[in-house]
Amino acid sequence: MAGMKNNVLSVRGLMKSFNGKPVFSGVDFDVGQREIVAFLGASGEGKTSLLKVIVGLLQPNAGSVAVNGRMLNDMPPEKRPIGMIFQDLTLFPFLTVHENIAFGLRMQGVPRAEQNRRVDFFANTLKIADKLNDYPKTLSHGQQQRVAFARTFILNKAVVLLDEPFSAFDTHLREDMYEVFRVLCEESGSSAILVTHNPVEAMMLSQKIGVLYDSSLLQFDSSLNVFHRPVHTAVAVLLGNKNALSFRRINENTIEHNGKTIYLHDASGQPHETLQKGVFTCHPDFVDVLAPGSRKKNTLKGEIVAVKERGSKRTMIIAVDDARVHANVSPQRKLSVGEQVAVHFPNEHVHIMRA
Amino acid sequence: MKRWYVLIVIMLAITTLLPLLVSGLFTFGKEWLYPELLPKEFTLESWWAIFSPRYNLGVSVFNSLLVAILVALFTTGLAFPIVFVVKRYPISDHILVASFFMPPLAVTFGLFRFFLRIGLTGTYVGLILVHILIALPFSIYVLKGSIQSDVLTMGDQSRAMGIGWINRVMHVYMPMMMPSLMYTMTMVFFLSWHQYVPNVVIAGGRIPTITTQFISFVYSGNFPLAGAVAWVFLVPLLGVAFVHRWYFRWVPWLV
Repeated sequence: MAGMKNNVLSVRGLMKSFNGKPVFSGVDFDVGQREIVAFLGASGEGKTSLLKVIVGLLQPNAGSVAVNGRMLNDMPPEKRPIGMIFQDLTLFPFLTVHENIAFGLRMQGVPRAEQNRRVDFFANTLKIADKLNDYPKTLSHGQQQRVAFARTFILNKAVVLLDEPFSAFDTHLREDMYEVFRVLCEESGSSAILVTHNPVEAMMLSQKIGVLYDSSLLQFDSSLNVFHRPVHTAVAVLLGNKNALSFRRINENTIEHNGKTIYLHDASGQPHETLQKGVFTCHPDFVDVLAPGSRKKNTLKGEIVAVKERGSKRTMIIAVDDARVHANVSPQRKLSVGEQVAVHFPNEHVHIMRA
Repeated sequence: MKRWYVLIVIMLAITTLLPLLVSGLFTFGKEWLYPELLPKEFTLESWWAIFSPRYNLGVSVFNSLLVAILVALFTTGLAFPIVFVVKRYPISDHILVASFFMPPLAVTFGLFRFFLRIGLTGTYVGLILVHILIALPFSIYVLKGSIQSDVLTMGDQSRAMGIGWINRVMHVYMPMMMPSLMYTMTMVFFLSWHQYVPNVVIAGGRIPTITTQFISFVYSGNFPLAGAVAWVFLVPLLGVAFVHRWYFRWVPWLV
């Protein structure tokens, strides 16, 4: 296993069930030093349970969690070198901002002067220095989030888990918090795992993405690979790619859809290079919408059935045989519902996967 | 709506203040016999009398206060860890409710023989124990309602911050639940303060309390003295009201 020695967190064969019903099973992944990993999944796919098992608040039914090679299964959460920021922040309402941030240090017996020095550093970094004497309930949600971040990152845990930390923010504030999060990860040297519903957030913040679906970790790979080469339609859908057309394999780099040939750029190295039947996809950002007579390769005929304005782009929904293909085009393109078009899938962006 | 509000306030005033007024009149009245609407004569005799060494009311008040304060502290202290267990491993509310509807008489009488054998009758320990047994299910029920999921999540959060269980109890659960603990202690205090049957059966006259003294005045037909003692019952109420007001006003995170 190349790079194994740099792994901070190693999870092997992790399984958790409630009342005999598996929440997730067979979960394997590693998180490297200073690496940020995002877990994507729909509600109820066990993302929060996964974090709770890793931090030790839930016991796994099987599998192991190790940090820096040390097995943690029998270690209580308070002894683990893992911190967690809960979705609802859970700031202590009876403590001021300063006391909240310093709480973990105080309990560890860190001298008061050192506590103050570190609290001041984090408060300045997170721009909450003027709120140190306030109680949490007087703060905005964004400020509370900063306090929650400071309170956990100040402890210099090897790994920090974040349960949907940005879900309550509007777009503008979220961008600020992404920056705060990045700075904290850099300053503390901690690795981080965050769970989110938001594929853009996952892409922006993490080096690796894991996708939980139907009780299993469908894919765990670099963010770019998960985006460009999803192994399953569920992964593609979670990343905003609903394009899925059936195929049958012709040869190594050629597939066919309803008798039309589609060329793959290079099937070798793709997760399903031997797949004989399944679906192929091409992210809507890379699908070209051409004039109906186009003779380009990898082109299928279709009819525009809907147009969705998205501000900086326009999504065309095109009926191609029995499927719907989404294509993001410039808002300047003059296309309308009912128009016949040719849908072009550039072969370097065509990817095959399990249905 | 406003009319209903006024009506309710008037009804509450009548049901609480009128009996107080009547017992107050008893304390200042001399020879107040049926069918007189008011006492013939007003005097401070009963007040001088209850504070005279003859009746030892001070000892009774001290005993009642001591027992009620210790019962409030011990019962709430016992209920506090129990509610976490009850919350994690839920038991039916019916069982809890049923247990605090158990008549004190039955509990007390059941314990009397046992306490007699082990020499706890007529002792402070015996009296406090029986009060705790009566108040415990009630205090568990009251405290249980105050442990919302956020308290447990705070506990989980502090575990993920490396906080061990002793520090969690002292620095997370206790401050989080302090308002509920205050309420529970107050309720238990008054439950104990007003107990009569266990005081008679278990303490057996060796530990005079304010309730036993009150009842003895009533049975001996000494209504002015009974009325004065009834007013002494109110003193801790004022004290507790003061402490509550102070606590909920000066604890900044609650304001």
